[in-house]
Amino acid sequence: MMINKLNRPFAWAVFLTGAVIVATACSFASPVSAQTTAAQPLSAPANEAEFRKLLHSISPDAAEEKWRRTPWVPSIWTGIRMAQQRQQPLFLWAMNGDPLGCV
Amino acid sequence: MSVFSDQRIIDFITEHFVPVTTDINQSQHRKDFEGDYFRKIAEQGHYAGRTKPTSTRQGLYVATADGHLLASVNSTKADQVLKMMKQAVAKWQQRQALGVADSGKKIPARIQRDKNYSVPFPDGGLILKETCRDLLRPDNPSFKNWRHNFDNVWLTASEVDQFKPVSRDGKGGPGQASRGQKYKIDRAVISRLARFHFVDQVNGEASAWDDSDVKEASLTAEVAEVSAESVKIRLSGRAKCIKPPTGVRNPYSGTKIDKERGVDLLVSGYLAYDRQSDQFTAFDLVAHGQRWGAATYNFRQQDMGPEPIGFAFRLIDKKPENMTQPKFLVWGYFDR
Repeated sequence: MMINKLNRPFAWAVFLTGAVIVATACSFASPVSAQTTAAQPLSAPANEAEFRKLLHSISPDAAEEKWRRTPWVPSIWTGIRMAQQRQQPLFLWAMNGDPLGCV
Repeated sequence: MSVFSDQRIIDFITEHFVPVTTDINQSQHRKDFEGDYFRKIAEQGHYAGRTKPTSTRQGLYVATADGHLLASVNSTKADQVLKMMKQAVAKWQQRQALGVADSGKKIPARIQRDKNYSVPFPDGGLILKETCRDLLRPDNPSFKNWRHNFDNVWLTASEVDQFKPVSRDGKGGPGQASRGQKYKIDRAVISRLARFHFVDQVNGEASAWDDSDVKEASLTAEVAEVSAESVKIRLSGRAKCIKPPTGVRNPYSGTKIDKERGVDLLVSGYLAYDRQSDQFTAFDLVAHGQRWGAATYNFRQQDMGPEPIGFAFRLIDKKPENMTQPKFLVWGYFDR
């Protein structure tokens, strides 16, 4: 799409800024294990049951989805309108990357 | 565990506030109503005016609809977040008692969004929810793979059509296929999926693959079952992406990332196609295999691999809370 082409240099600048932010945030994370192993041979799931098991092992479990019980609104403008209507303050979770998408 | 998985936090937010999420990559910069609002409250908050070490305004903010900040913090500790929220409620109640809780300033019924950040969802497209995660390591039983990340995939209508079964002679239209029939999915579809979604984001950020990084991208569909109502389709394929060294240095660690990174993945999936509605009712996809190397900000410098990684995708409804843009949407996501 034309808009994407127009936006690319600008967007990359924003991305790099954001990446620096994430680097700061993640620097407090627990250290990852340092190890190097030989590549394992790839094997596809032999049947649908194996596929389901693999899909399940990657997908979030119930505990990892608990944060979604809060009825997050993915738009500041929509949230402001709701806040005024309900006579409540707005709680804004602002991250490098939308928390409802990829952070 | 995320601070937002703490039941005390969930209950408090739900009772007292309208909870909103936003991407500061966009909201700090966008020139529109939402950007103006965010900058207004952020410049009253915990990182107001800050430029070093970064200009981030990341964090948690409680504010009135007219942009008066009540409290803010940048913390992943539940007790600190609870404390901040209680302070915000106390200030809100004080303002209510004084009759100034909110100015009642009219919020526009429509807004013009900054076009630099607004790419509309494609008509007739689908959304897949992506999860990426390290797979367990058989040679390292103590390895924990709790870290994971999400993204949304936007498929266009024409891409979705690629997956629909057609009759063997090509004249029967969608849903007329017979069991065992195979058909290739256009390379451009699996290549786009690989470029923007088979990216290791488990620990931190990595850029999308360039088109030239995609060394292999193939996907074949096979009709597994056919009934009067539906068709089950099995997918199998492979994607391999390799990016040469970038030479970019991480400004925090000083580490120069000068080794290639890549993924070599098998793609498998099962789709359910409803013949009457001409819609997919299930779109389960997995890409799993090896990743190696490191990007400047994805925190793999001590874990260069090759090690196993998996990407899982599931069809989700087009509800407002599911419409969050794919991470790379404004970086050539739909370009051909």
